[in-house]
Amino acid sequence: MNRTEYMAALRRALSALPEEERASALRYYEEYFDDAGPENEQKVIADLGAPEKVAEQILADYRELTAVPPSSEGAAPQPKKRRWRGISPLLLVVLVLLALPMGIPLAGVLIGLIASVFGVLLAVVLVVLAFVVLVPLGLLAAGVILCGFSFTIWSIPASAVLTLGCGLALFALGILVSLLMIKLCILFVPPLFRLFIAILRWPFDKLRGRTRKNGGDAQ
Amino acid sequence: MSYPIASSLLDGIVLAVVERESTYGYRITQDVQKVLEISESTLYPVLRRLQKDGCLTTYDEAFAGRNRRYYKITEHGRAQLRQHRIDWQNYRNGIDAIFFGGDSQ
Repeated sequence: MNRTEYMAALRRALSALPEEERASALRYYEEYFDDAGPENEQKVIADLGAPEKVAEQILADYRELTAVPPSSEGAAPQPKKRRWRGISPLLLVVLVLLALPMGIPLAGVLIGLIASVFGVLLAVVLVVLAFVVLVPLGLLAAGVILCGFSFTIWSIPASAVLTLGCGLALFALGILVSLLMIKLCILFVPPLFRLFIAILRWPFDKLRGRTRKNGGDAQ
Repeated sequence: MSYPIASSLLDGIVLAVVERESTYGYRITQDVQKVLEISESTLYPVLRRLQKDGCLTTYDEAFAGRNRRYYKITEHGRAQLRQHRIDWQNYRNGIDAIFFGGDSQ
């Protein structure tokens, strides 16, 4: 291999470089041959080594040099993306302050509504509870009172026996109703309780479902 | 025995060679090869990189009926070389302290 062949091989091996870079490298090695002198041509070729090896060094260094611009180009779109990512904290504060005059009455109305719903529910529960507890208790008490009253009227045995009988019947009915109420409570309280819980949870489930859906969209 | 040469050290050496006098590729290679075992193809990428970093500039001068490309150190190159000298001194002092004891500091 002589100098001309060597330089041609080097030119081919550097074909991946931009024209300016390739010309600069080729000029350097042309001058290198010139400065070494024609008598050292074979020595220079031997010292330099394979043109492909020489080219690989130049290409590797060029890649290292040009590795910086793509990363800076890659960084450029990021601020653009950041601009759309959400509301800035400052803007959020301003929005919250602007929303306060409308938000406070709205919140008041909402709290009032929730409170009244709870009040109604509490009243219903209390009425049902009173009915469940007071009716059997009343029947039992009435039976006991009638029985007691019957002992004061033994002067008229027929009336006393009738009153005692009615009292006992009422007492028995009280026991029956009590059992019925206990049965009803066992039957209806757990489902009602579950329904109540379900009603309370409904808005939260709705909220969570929506965020889960959003999370799915984001992925 | 020879030690592998870090590219930053090679940068400093080339800057120091060019600082002495503006010179050309073949001469720089010869000068550096006097003290370091480097391949003939090592210096072109170094020179090109230093040129791109603004540490060196080139100019052409007629020589024996052709143009020879000379490398010349810039002000930025001089500043870099000052830093290289400080770094080298610290590095050398550290190694000396281990090799020959603390008296070299």
